[in-house]
Amino acid sequence: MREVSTSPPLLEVRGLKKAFGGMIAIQNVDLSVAQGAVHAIIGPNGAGKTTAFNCITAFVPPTSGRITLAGERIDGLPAHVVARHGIARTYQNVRLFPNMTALENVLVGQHRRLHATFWEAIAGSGRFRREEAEARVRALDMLDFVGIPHRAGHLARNMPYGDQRRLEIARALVGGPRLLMLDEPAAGMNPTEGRALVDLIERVRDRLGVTVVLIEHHMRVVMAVAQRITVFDRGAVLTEGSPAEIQADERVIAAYLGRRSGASGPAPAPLEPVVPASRLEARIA
Amino acid sequence: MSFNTVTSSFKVTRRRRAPLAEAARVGLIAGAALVAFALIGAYAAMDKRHVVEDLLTLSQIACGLMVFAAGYATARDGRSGPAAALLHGLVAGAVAGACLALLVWLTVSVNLRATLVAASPALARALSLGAPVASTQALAQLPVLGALLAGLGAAVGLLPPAGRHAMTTGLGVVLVAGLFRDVFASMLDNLPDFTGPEIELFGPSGLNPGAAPVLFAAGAAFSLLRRRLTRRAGVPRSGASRLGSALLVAGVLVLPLVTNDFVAQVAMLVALYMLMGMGLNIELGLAGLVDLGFVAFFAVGAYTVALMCSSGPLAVADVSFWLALPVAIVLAACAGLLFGLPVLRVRGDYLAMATLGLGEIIRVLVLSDALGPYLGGSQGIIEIRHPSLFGLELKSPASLYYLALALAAVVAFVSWRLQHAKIGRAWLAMREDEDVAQALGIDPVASKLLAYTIGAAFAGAAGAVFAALIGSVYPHSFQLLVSINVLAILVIGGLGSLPGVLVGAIVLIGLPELLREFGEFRYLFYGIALVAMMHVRAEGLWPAAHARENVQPENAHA
Repeated sequence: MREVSTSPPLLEVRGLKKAFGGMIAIQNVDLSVAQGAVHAIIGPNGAGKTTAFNCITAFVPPTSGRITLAGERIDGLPAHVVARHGIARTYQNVRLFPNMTALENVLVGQHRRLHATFWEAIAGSGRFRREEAEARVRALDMLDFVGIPHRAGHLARNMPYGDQRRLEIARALVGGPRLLMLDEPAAGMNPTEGRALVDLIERVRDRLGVTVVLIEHHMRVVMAVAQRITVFDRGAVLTEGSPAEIQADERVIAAYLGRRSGASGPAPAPLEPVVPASRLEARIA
Repeated sequence: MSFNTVTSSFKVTRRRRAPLAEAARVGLIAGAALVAFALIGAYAAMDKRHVVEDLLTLSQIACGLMVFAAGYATARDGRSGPAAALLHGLVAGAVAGACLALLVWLTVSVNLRATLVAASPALARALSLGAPVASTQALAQLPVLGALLAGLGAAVGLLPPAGRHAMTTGLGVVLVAGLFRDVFASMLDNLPDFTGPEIELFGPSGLNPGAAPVLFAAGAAFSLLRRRLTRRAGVPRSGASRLGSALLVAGVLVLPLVTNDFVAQVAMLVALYMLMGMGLNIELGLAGLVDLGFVAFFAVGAYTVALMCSSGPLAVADVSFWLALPVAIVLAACAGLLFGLPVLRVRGDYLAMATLGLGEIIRVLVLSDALGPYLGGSQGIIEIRHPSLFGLELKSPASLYYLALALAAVVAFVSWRLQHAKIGRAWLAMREDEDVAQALGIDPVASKLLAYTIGAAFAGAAGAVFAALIGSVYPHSFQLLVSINVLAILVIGGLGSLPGVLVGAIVLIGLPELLREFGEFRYLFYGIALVAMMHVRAEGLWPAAHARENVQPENAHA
């Protein structure tokens, strides 16, 4: 297991709350992601993991709370400004630009790295040409990095699902973010693909130096790749710790199975993940 | 844009029927189409137009094509052997013909004219095809003719692809030559006469009967030859298509020189709509902004030129068109920016409604009492001077066509450059998924505003040319219909595709102008074509997405 650096956290969330009308989706969420770490967020469905993601990336405005990236406050900023601060993300259900090619998708991801003006583009200035050529090379390199170099000319919507997931990661990475947020990257993957994903995430951290936060249900992937795990349950942080600590935590298993200590009678079991007790223990142990 | 999603939900699942019943059903559908065609008066109107001199009129060809298509469709169903398919074709055609015969009989024996104005004796006479009106012979020949035509359609449908393609190409050549007789005849008139007077392709209103089979054979032979050539490895497809586009460009350049003024005028109109189409293409095709008020910026451009280049009493200045043109473009862009600020924060359908309102506001403002004294109200502004170039006044339709074409070329170049730059990709991304685009660092309001402003600037340029072309501007030239037409051009051509704009403008603006004898029935076919288009090819005639895919795979490993 890699050591987590002791430098100040890259992403710091304090007292985050999001209410949709009267329904409180998350509250009192504290999260601290160390620079250079792979940090997993787990928890049953409906626990508020994706809502927390959406608040951090300004997809939805948080109701209250404080979010800082490398010491700078980013809550309350519009999404494109947050992106320019260096946060990139993927989505639970893949959201590519379906009618654009893989290469074009990755070129869009470089939007904030390109500086040639509108007039330079029309005139076809030297800087514009140079920048476009570099962007293409970077895009093709990034497709190569995620393992789909042969897809460059394909429309995103015609690509197989696994490649779409990789393309989404490439699009997020190519902008040179400091923090990459993956929302269930292993969803719908078989064990082999899951292992390839673990490898990819480790290369993202080690070779690109990008900090990764991921929401994931596949325990095998989480335990293999994360240095730190935060467990969400019912809109709040249940606990946080190293994989070993989380594996040993009774409350985590209870939360996953829908049983809560102190609650009278069993609460309705979450629909997903459907993990029988024995299997969950086998995974965690 | 949601055009594709809407149309793709119309996938019809056909129930399996007995083949003969299916053939009868297709025949009935064709028959109903024929009867409707006759009863709306289209038959009588188009019967005056000879496609092949003294032999075939346009309405006969239209009916023939419907029956032919019915036969073709039954044969292509592909569930039965060739003999059975042929039989089914015959049945379908006979049924369709019988429907028409029934109509003729009813027209003569019952007075339908009280409700159906077109069901006149003239119609019965026309449909009797020279036989005594409503005689047994006249009534019997319709199902027989129908059966023959549909049988022919079925036979063509059964041919191997090469033969099928050759037949349809030949038929297409004859139709195009006959329909656009004026264009081709005037071209031939301008050419030196190689053939001598004894071989004349065209008569006074259509093709000569002798020339039609020759043209058919030529078209079919060309198709076969092309197929053979492209199959051989010697001629790569891209080379062939490059030759094709070179020919197209040459054709566009010399068109008004080799034809008459009317064709030049139509070409000018096509170029003008191309200009506007490319403006809206930036907004709708690239950035996905549904703008129904596009005509407003067109009006701003037109009125700017009108006020600056007129010798009339309302003129502010009387300067050269070349000075007024940039002013018009800048003013239209400013109008776009000003309008864009409040409306671009709304999305999708709401944006369409907001822009619709804005488009009307401009027209109503021009007509209002407040601006009437300055803009002439419904009287408009007249006596706009024609632009001049190197002391030469651009007055003839041909020279004005070149002006519009040159501007269209500039605009196409700018669009093309922007499309392949950061901002163009940002627009496409916004169209595809606005939230995701924003999460990648694209400022949605700024990039939408830019798209809206550039689109407005292009529309302003089109308006400026329009004012110079027509020589006068009136508020009624800036109706909602103009916006709708431009929108339809984009949808027909293919959203976001530059060649699509050209194709769409030719199909929707050029063809209806050249087919003036269709009169109001033009719009009927226009509508049918649009509906059919959305069913068969919702992505447009020259879609952008397909052009993009697999363009770069060979560079992928660079």
